[in-house]
Amino acid sequence: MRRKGYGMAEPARDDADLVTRAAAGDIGAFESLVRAHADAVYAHAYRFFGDAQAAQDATQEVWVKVFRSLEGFGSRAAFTTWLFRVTRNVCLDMLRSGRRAATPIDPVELHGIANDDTAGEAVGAVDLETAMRALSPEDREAFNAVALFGLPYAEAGSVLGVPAGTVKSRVFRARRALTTLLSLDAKGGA
Amino acid sequence: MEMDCIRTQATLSALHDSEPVTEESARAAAAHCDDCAQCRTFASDLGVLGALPMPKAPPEVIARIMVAVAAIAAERAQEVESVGALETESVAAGAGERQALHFEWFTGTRRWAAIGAIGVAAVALVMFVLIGTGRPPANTASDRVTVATSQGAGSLVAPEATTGAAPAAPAPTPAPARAPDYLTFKGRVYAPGSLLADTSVATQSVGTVSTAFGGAGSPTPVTAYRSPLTDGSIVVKGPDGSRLYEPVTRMFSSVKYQLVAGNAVERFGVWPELPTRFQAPTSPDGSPTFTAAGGDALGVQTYTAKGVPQTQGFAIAPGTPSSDPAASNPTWTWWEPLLMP
Repeated sequence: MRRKGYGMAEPARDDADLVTRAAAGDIGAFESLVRAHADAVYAHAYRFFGDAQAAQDATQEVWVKVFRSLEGFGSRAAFTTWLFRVTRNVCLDMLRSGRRAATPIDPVELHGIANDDTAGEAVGAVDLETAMRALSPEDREAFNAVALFGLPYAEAGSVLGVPAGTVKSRVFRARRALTTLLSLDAKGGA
Repeated sequence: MEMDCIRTQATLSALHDSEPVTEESARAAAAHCDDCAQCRTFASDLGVLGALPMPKAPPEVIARIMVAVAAIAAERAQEVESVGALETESVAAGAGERQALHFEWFTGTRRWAAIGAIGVAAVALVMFVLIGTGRPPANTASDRVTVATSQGAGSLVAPEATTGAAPAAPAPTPAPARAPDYLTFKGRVYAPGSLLADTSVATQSVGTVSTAFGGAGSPTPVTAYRSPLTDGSIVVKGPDGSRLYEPVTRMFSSVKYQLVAGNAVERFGVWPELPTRFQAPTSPDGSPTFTAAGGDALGVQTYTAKGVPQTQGFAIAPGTPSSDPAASNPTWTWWEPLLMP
């Protein structure tokens, strides 16, 4: 079952219609796709590079690639699965070409998180994003595929080249690490 | 953590993602949570984690994306003329067996061009009907008068040379004697940006520019490279190193339009002129070539050319302020949707 990702304004069922219209030249439909999914693309790139400017460049490049390839996309896969694949490839290509480098995590930042004594509801995006960078790349991208893009484990696995069971393990490991790093346990959760 | 806790939390994580879980596993996890505070907390933490804010794409990124996409769409539309010609040729051949192929031909990227070709045909039909009903087409070629001045083919001519019906336009501000350090690439105008510290990021050639840069020598062909940025810039190696050259643009209707030159700007300080397909206006109101149409994002008056939708190009009158993208160009300028080199 396909779920709604974190940043998705509308459920995925509208995507097929928007893709069809956008491929036929409806720029408004394409803009709706961008607005529905730009946050997921940006968040993945931001977590990949740890840098806002690189994430912006990657986000633009992803959508330009998507626009150029819409007609060839057809309906052979769910749009979000394809979008995650394009996003992942663009980030990897930017890294390989040396145009951008991933920002390594500073252990001091993690220490700061672990000793954060703010109230649970005050845990914000900055802390979460710092904690994200402490995850292994494999766990992080599996988590992003599922949590940001709303991909089922099997589809995430098809993009990542691993079985669904491996995605399940990686996502669980990411969640365990994040709840620990963000001290959600100590703060009593919601 | 005990093995049962790990299994339970993995099941809870999968359930949180709406993944299929066996009834037995779900029952075992629920039973475990009844007796395990740690796993109950993990279950609630899943909700907290899912509700934390994630990074959001800044609005300007979405705007940039749509500008880039509009430029690609415009690029596709530019295929119309050549594809339209091919189509006419094909129809003239009249081979019935080709019809089946046409359906195939109309798919893919050619659909964009075909849509544009249909639009052009529709305009032609309207023109035919108007002429057929006796309405004279406005501003035929014989009406046009080209006045050459020292400012080049696109120069503004004194208002006295035209009919008194032309509305008065603000007097152009004095133009600076020298244009910015422009160069032209594929007929489009670029201005220098920052120097590249790492030249290895721009190694893919996209063509050549002919320029003498700021020197007094003859212009020479210089390789232009694809920019590592996606803003339409190019990279050109000059006397001071590899430098980004950014497209000279202005915004109209949320789309970025680039300055197009009819002349090759082969030396810094030379003004871009109107594309040669346009006759120089003989009046400050743009006539007979252009018609006042509206304003761009800066509130500067835009002018349309006959038969060219404003979304595909517009003119700007001479004498804009030096802060304007046209930089006080003393001649009329022409702007088309930004293309990625």
